[in-house]
Amino acid sequence: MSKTDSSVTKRLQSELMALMMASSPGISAFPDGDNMFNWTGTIQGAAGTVYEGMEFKMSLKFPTDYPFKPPTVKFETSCFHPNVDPQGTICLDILKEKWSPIYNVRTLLLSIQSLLGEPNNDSPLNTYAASIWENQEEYKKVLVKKYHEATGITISTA
Amino acid sequence: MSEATMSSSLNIDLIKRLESYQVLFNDKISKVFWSYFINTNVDTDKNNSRFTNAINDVHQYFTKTRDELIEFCNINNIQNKEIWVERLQNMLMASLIIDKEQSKRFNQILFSFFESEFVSFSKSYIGSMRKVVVESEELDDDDDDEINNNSSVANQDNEMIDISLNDSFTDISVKELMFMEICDRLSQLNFIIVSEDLVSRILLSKIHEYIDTKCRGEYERRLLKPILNWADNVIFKWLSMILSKSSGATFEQWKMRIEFSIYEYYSDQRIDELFNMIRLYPDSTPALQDLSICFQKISIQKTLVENLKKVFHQRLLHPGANTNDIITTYISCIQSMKIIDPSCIVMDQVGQPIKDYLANREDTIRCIVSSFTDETNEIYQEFSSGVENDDGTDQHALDIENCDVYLDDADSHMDFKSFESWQPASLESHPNQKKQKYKDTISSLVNIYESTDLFVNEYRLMLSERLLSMTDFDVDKEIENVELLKLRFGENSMHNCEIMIKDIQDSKRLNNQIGQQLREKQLEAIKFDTLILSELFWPSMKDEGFTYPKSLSSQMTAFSKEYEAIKAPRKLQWKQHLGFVELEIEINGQLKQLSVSPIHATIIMLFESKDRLSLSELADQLQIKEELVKKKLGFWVANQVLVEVERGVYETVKPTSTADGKSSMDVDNGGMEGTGSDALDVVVEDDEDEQQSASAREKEEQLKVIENFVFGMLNNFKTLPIDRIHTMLTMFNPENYSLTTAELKSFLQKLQNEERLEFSGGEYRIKK
Repeated sequence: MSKTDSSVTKRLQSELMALMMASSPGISAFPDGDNMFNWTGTIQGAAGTVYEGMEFKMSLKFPTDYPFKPPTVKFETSCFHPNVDPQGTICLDILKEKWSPIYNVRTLLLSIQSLLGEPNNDSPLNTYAASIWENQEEYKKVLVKKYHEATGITISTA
Repeated sequence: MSEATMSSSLNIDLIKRLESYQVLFNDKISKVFWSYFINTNVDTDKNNSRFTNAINDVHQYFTKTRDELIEFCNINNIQNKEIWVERLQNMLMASLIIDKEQSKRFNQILFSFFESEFVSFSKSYIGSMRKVVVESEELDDDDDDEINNNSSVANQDNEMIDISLNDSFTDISVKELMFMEICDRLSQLNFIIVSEDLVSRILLSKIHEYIDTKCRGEYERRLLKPILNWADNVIFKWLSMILSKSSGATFEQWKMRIEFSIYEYYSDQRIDELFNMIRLYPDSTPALQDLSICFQKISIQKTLVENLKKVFHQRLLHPGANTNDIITTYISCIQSMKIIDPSCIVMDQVGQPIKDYLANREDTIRCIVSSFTDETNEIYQEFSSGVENDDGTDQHALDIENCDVYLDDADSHMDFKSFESWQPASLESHPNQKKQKYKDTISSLVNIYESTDLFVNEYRLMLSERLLSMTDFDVDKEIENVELLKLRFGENSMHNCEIMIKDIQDSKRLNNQIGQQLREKQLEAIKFDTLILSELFWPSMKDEGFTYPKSLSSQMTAFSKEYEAIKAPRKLQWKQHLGFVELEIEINGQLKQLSVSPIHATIIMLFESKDRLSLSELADQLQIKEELVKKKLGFWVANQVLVEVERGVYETVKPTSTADGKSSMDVDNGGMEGTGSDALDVVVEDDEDEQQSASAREKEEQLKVIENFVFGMLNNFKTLPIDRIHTMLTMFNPENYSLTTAELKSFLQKLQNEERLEFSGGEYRIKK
């Protein structure tokens, strides 16, 4: 293991520790099996949003020059959302040009969680989702259907 | 051709001659020899003249035949006479010992002969030593330790003295001459070689006997040298008489072998009693020094280590032993092993189980830390004398030792560097470091644990206890202790403690200042002192609130206001359950002075306005649970201030003789100490909170971390089997995770019992 690798591992290890010890309801992540550089994350839709009650799996892949480069974050559970494409790619500035080493896994997941409820409809990846966002009732109907298709879980629309 | 014929015919003559000797030996010599021993029991018959005569007779016959044989050889010019003489010797032996029975008896005869010779020789030696002592006493010489030793042995055996006093010096030398003569004959008969085994058996048993009687239970004198002297004067002198006809090399071989046995038996004997010696250190130093000599001479390291480990396990490392005793023994053990083996390799090995055991005992840290500060303790003496050398290496030594364990804490750069420069620990490579390891008692104790942090923490905890139970704000002693600890643990480690002490000093000042202002504003109803603690630097402890009596709480609010005015933006947060109250209670006309916790005081103050209160009323007024009230009421019931008149209803004890029929309770000028932050309550007798040591708390924190990790995993992977959980914990939480799979299993079982986890199909999941 090279020197840089070991310092990245150290950083990720301390992030994991912080994440485990902090109580952040609705978000969670853990390294995938045997590799510190691949994590699985879980985001629950925040209360009061159309995503309430839903749970999405994420994948986080950390580059070897983390935290100077952002991790690659994708939705593994298919997510109907203006800023998420069918492959699960997320359009979020802090995952790209606005990334800064002061962010960490926890802040990142919290940002994605809040993105669910507050999409950026100016640069949509999913134009259909963006177009119906204004009509929350219809949006929820489509969302619940898509969520059911992806997970088999039925969310009541009531 | 002709030469060969001649030599073979000569050989035939020689053989014939030998055969005739054989007949002579069988018919005559054997009979003569055994005739001396008919109807005698060699074990009880200690009279050596019988044996001497028998040997003399045998010797006479033998020399006659031998001389004949040699002459025959000389006449016939036969070479290798020695071979034929040897053959003759063997024939003699064969004729004497025809069957097993005779062989056994022959050995018995020889054994008892040598044994009784040795006994009489060593008696005459002791007798002569005694004469020397008597003479030296007359001359009033300096006491020679060795002579005294020997005389004391002589004194133990009066019979010996009686005999030896009857023997004159000349008598002794005559005896010796006689013995040497018979040994000479035995050697001519080639009997010495066959007796070697017997002789060494006798000598060894005599050596063992001697060492046993001299050394058992005796640790306060050097004994090895006297023993070796004794061996020189008795064993080797006697041996030299037996072996006087043998070559010097044989004697040297004997001597080396017996010396080795002496060292071996002596060290065995000492190791056997090593535990007692350790317990008696430093009085046992002479014995340990002797053992150190053995340690250098012969290889006893393995026996030493094994024996000590065993005896520690049996006698020290069990629940019945007091932690303080174990620590004391551990320290004595270090000192003792330093004498025996200055390289401390033995100590490393035997110390490990003790260290491990101590590290697992929860009160160890507490015992060690309190020994640092207990003025009557020996460790305190060493502690207060400070660091021996002022060049700062000592403090460093601790750091160095810890760094190989605590690499994880170092940043990656350091990590890498030390990784490259790592060397295997060997005996020779770091002699200095080894020495430093056990250089002083305190470092040895601190090194029981991998990190000094634990100590600093525990010290902080104990300091907080002491500071909070203090009534006079006198912190000089504590400052001194902290300064001393700083020398050992480094400047930064004691930072928290320094602030804690400073808090106390500041509190004193602020109390005066604010108290003054409150008095001016006439807000002071009850005199109270406040300890104002900086929350961040004190050990964190739980908060247990209840409602204070109005008079007091208003005063406390006033105090807070004044404080906040002076120290803005800081705020006071009252820890109501801490501190203590001095009360004066009048029961039956008797004044009782009591020092109780605030909650007890508050409860009793509620009875000031009302004689009879029920549990629920009390709980309501105090705003705490009924069970807790009940528990606290127990104190007053036990002190016969309150009685439970009916279930859950309490009354003040009615005075039997007071005229007005009313008990009065006054909170009279007692000092009320509220404390501005959390700490421990040490005043209360019935306080149910057991204090945990820092190590126990650390363990709890570790489990908490593990728990969070388990939930973190299960959150993301839904279900996991136990070995996956174990692997992932090992991998991603290496600093905190040290459980075995079995321990993990029982921990998960606990979470299952708490209905937080589910287990099905070999996998765990979070219970929704």
